Amino acid sequence: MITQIQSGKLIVISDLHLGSPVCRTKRQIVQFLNRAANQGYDLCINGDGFEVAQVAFQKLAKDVPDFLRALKVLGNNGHNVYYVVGNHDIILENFLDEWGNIKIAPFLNVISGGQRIRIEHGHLYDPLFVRYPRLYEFLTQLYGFPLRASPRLYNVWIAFQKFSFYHRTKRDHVIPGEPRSFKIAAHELVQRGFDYIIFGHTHHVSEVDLGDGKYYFNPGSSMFDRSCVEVVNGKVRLLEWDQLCG
Amino acid sequence: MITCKPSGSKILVKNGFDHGIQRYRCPACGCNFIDTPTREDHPDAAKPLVFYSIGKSFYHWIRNLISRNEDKRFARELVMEFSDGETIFTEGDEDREMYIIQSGEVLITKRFSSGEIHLATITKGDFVGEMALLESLPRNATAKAVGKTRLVVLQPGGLLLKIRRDPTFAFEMLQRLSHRIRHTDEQFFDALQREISVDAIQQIVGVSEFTSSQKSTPKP
Repeated sequence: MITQIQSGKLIVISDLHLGSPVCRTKRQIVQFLNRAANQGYDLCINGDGFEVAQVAFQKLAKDVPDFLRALKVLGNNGHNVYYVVGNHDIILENFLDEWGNIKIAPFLNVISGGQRIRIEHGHLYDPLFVRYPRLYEFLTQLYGFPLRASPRLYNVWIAFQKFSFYHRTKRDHVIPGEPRSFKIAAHELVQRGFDYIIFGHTHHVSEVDLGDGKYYFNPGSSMFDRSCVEVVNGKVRLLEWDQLCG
Repeated sequence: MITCKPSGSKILVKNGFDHGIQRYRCPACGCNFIDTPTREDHPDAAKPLVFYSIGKSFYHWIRNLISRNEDKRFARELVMEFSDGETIFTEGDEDREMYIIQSGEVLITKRFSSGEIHLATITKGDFVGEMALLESLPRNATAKAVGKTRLVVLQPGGLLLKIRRDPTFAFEMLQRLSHRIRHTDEQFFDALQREISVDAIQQIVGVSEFTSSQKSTPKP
């Protein structure tokens, strides 16, 4: 299984959740991938590319072919496509393994311009997922029903998370809406010689300075934020899709 | 019973409200006052509030202190710095630490009758000395720093904690150990095939498996 790669130009996007009732950016994602292919970037999908837990099968069948076609274009242009497995798509590992041009990994250690970058979905650092995996899965599936009725409920959930973590965010200097365990995990990885850490999972886009020139990034969810992390010869930055594609 | 404190009169007239609290007028002295309990009336009334405030401040102070340390829990793990050419451990040493290379490089060498050979150069993010930690056996090679090198020191208990906090570390460790075994096997068979017949290889492999299983018995 591939975990160590080298790449000069890499784009990391996360949490596409294709097939989810909330996902309404399929067209933009496909356009973004096509433009990334033209500019010579490798691509890393940092987990939860496909929605299985809250799947609306008709939507999945409608969304996925165009997306896969865009990935194929990337592969045909000689660029690599990496897929880091998340918690919503862990069941797809076996299927994905068969699709030639996508390389599946549990996490990726990228070496770019002498810098070490860790790309990981991050569900292993979610306290609820680790302590109560079955409850987490059940709640995720349960939450799918109201989402199908009104996808806007998702914004309420994100706002609630930001509100409930507001004081902790100010105190601990973490990404708004995110548990502190992610920052602690990022510190652990920095301890092992990584210079940049990229997690997904929480859908909260931001970056955190970990000190000594080390940074932790979260590109958020491509369903809403339209953000990505760009790695070019060891320089890592968080940017909007429009900034990348000029 | 409400009394007017300046005059001591108990005959009072209600005189409207002050911020929702009943106000009284004393006909004897003409003063207006409201009926609120004072510290003199109830000397112990404020104590629970004071204790609560102090307790709450103390709780937040402790909590902040813990959380501040928790973010940098790694600081509990020992970090050592070595200068260029400095020896980290020597072949035959009986210490049990393993090291993760945070920055710099480590040169691994082994002594032979004809001299010293260079086994590997290990770079940032990799680890060294894990065999002594896992098997409780003396070091089988010498490690020296190349340039200024920072190492995180892990002891057996620390390794388990590290895996608990960073589960991918266990995966990477197994992956590298597997790679090293494969690499050693390939080199071993390559060397044997050049010079010795298949029967002899089988004989040597049998002997080596026997001796390695004996050697790998941990020390009490």
